[in-house]
Amino acid sequence: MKNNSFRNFLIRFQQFKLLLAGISLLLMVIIGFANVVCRNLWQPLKGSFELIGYLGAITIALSLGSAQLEKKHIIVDIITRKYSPGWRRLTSTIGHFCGALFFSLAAWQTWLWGDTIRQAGETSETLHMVFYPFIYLTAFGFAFLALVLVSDLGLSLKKIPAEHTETS
Amino acid sequence: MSPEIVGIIGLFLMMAAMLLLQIPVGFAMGLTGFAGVAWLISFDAALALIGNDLWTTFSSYGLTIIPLFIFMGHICFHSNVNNRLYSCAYTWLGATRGGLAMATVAACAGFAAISGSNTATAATMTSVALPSMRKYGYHPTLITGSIAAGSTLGVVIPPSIVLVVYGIYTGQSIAKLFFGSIIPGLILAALLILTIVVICRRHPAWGPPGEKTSFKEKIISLKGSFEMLLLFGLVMGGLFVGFFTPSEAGAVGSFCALFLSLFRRSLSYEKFLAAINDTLKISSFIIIIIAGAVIFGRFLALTRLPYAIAEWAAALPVAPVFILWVIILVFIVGGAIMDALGLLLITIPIFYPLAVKLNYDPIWFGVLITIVTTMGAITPPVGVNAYVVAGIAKDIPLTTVFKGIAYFLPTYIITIILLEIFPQLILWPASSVH
Repeated sequence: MKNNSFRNFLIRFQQFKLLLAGISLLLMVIIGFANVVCRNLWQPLKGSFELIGYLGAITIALSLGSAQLEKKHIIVDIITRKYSPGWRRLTSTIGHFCGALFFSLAAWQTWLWGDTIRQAGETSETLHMVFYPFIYLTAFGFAFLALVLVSDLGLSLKKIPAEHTETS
Repeated sequence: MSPEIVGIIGLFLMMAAMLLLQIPVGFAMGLTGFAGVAWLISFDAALALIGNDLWTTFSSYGLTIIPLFIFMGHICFHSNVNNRLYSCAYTWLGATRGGLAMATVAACAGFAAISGSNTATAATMTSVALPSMRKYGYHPTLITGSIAAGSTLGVVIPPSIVLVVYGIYTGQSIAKLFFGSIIPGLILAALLILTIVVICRRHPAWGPPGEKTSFKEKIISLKGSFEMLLLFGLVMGGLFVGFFTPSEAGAVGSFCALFLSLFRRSLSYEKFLAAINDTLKISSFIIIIIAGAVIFGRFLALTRLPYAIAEWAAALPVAPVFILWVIILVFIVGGAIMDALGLLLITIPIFYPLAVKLNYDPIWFGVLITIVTTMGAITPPVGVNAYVVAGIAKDIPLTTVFKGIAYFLPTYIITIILLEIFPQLILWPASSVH
């Protein structure tokens, strides 16, 4: 029951994050298009490349949990699909644990990198704007993915199967 | 233990994580790379590597091309560009024997020119083409084979996400890769259509002719290809003359696709949100694979395994073409068990230095292996396109789908051989890019 409410919270929060990621994606489109028009008619938009890069980072970071929540990540199930349910539960538990551990470390280290940039007072090359908030947001995206994997781990332990989808 | 041995163990560990523990491809590469660097240097070095590398990958301007091109394709997909393309191809080809299957391949090629995904093409073309082909009594083998094979064009004809990823990972020009893949894509599409002609000669009852259309109807139907031609012309033309960067091409393409669909009133608010949602989900799992591949690549570079393999293979007393065919075989077998993108990113660190060492042009090699890996989307046991088609055409068994696909597989081999004999088919258009 607790895991269900945790899962529901993650799903609702992911929807909110997707909204922000969608806005970021549209901003990338608008800035990219505007830069092409301005560059060819007048002069380039200053700092558009670095802005698009930062927006790209948060667009992806904020979307990270959704692919895991919907099991869209690419897996190779040619062998595991023949596993017995018990064996499959065991392997998916190990897999989710490894994933959660990796993305927890990724979140922690990315956050520390953001700290380093903030403390050094580093700014972007062209616009001279602080960019550590984007790094923190990316770290937050990894932390959220780790939480989704923890939730998946809980489901695996509770014998609830999580099917993956192979996509290209 | 020598670094090369650690590299080989790392490769096996990664394969074991993917194959035995159901760990997603991107996660497995990241985990193995992290563990490998920790083993070779130190745990602290591995921690610092993931913090720095992940941020650098995520904020890379070059990688923004991925969500932007995916967004362009999904706007077109949700605003039913495929239906209009199919209707146009149907008007021109439908009256000939097997014409509906040919129209399906032609519409797939058209949609591939504005979208880089083959599963989206497979899903939508099954929904669009299946009812018409059934109505005219087409054989299920021809129906499903033509849709599944035609939809692989999504990855070959530019803009292709697989080519983008190859370009980013190897540092090759994406514009050159796009232009280099146009002729191979057209050859493959033409050979797929030719295969339909041959099938219908042998089994005339499999593809009965549809209704005849007048010349006026044919001309009017061309407006169905307007968006595709405009977007493809804009994106490729802009890249050709150096009017914009590949990422900007994605932004311009998305903006124009959005503008056209709003102008046509073919994109509702719900579909617009669905296009954004799909784009974000697909982009995030692709970029996670790339980020994992970057970490894994760092580990492999530390082991010097790719260079050792390249040196060893180059010194073998066999012709380079023999080694190339071994690589192709690995891609064919690998493509049959896993997704093209994942396979490409796992194998590129090994095979790319080898191809360069053997003096193969990197652009030519990239286009060639893209065609080879795309075969994996229709070959058993994974064959994701076959599953998509069988999933929608529920009354047609998967074995029939794979049987239909089997007729089309030789076209891929013929295309690969042609590209080997005439590399200029790739290199000439690629070299003409400014």
